[in-house]
Amino acid sequence: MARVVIMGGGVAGHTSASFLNKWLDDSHEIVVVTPNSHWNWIPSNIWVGVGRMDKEKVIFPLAPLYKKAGITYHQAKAFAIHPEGSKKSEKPFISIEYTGQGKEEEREDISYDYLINATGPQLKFGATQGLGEGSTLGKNTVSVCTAEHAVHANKELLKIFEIARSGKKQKILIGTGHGACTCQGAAFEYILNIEHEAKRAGVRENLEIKWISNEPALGDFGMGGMHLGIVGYVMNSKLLGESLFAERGITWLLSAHVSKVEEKKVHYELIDGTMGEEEFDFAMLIPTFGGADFEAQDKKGKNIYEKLFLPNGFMRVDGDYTSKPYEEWKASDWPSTYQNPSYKNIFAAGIAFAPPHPISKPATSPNGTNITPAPPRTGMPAGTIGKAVAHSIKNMINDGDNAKLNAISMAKMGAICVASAGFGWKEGEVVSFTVYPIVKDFETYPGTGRDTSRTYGEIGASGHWIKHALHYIFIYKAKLKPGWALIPE
Amino acid sequence: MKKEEANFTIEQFEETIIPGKKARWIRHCILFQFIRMSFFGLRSIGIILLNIRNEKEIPQ
Repeated sequence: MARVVIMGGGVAGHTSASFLNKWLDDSHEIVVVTPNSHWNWIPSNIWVGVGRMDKEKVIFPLAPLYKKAGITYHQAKAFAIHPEGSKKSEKPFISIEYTGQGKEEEREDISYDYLINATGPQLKFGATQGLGEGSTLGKNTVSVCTAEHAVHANKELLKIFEIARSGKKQKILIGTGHGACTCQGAAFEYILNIEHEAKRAGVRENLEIKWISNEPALGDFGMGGMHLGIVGYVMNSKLLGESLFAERGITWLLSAHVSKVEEKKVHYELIDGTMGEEEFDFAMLIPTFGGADFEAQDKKGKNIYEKLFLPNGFMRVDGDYTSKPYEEWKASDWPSTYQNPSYKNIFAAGIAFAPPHPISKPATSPNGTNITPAPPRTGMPAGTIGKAVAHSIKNMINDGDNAKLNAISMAKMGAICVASAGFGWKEGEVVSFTVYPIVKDFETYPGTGRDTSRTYGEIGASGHWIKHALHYIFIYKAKLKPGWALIPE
Repeated sequence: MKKEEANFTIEQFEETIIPGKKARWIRHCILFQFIRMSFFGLRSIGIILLNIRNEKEIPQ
């Protein structure tokens, strides 16, 4: 009998737990530890943030689902990993602190045979002065990172619409709240949806809408931009992004590191070292992400954090973490099995694994400030990696030392991205992309680093129908309803 | 990058390209969008199949 403990119940963790539960027989135990009581389909938070979808439609409770599926569930936050056990315990274990189930603040140790770290991002609002404290959102801006944040964002947005309706000009600022942010796509969706809703509400003419981002160009998305093969010619995502913003009257400010947020004002630094300020009445700024906070100790209680994690808190896996200049980056630097090199029974999936380096070209201001978008690992890559890791652990449990690992690098993985640009079956729009591979591979695809016959983008109502359908399909899949395993990640 | 360059203006952009009314009409033409959805669906299936093909079993 083996016990597999999964830390995190988001896209990656839930995918791993679901497949392990399906593939392994009942003699094995699958345990999920997550501080959250509900599963959240995060891509639809955008629609909650503009009041076009209720919070209840993007979340569902995990406890009844896991009870029915036979998965052990602890609503708790894991805070320590002991991969060699301790003086008291021969088996490796994690330490958790409950956040729900009537056991709040109680602590417990859970032993494991295999461990998956799928803790997702720690929202580091505190990394930017005035954006928040630690992982708690401050009062100066809003967020759409969680369903609760999105509900709050919508309430604040409606106040701005109300003021604009009275004829008073209002300024909206959307983008990234730090020079090392990722997830520009979520902010991109939010700004386009706000613009769309402002038109519907009849207040667009009284709103100035502006984008602020750490991207060197619009359409970078932390992927170094994309070259899209479109019926016989190649265009870039910069042109697509600029076109979308220009036709909507949205202005933009790029290569910006937001250094400080005050009430109705942000301070920023640009890549040339110049400083600036931007006033606003409503701002949604994505925080920078870090790995979850963990302690790591060996059998004697010695700190072994560096064996498991990089300084940014993301888990060390089978990538090449040697520091090297951009010109020497290779697709082969990226991990493929997501197995920790020191402890073979520990894996990381989704945002929790440490990428070897960004995908976008790194840039530093003359003041030494890093203004480089971090690589995205959410959505399709998170689900694909979660399933591959589950496959590897299943093989290790069933085949022992002869087991093979499932390998899929983000440099050999494609992704489908659908970025909402408005809601409604007829007037809604989505910017739809297929990208292959996610990580640029200049050896295989000289020039653009990607296969332009498979990297494609367009905008239209059809994309909105697809995104809307995906909302229901993925929630159906996450609820483990009949045939869920047939739905791809 | 100078601040003025970072603040790319709409006026500068309008000199280059802005999709016309025709492009916007195409974006919302129901029949055309159904066709596009089918094509995008096929492209997406291609990416999914590629990911399945590229996932390899390797020895530990």
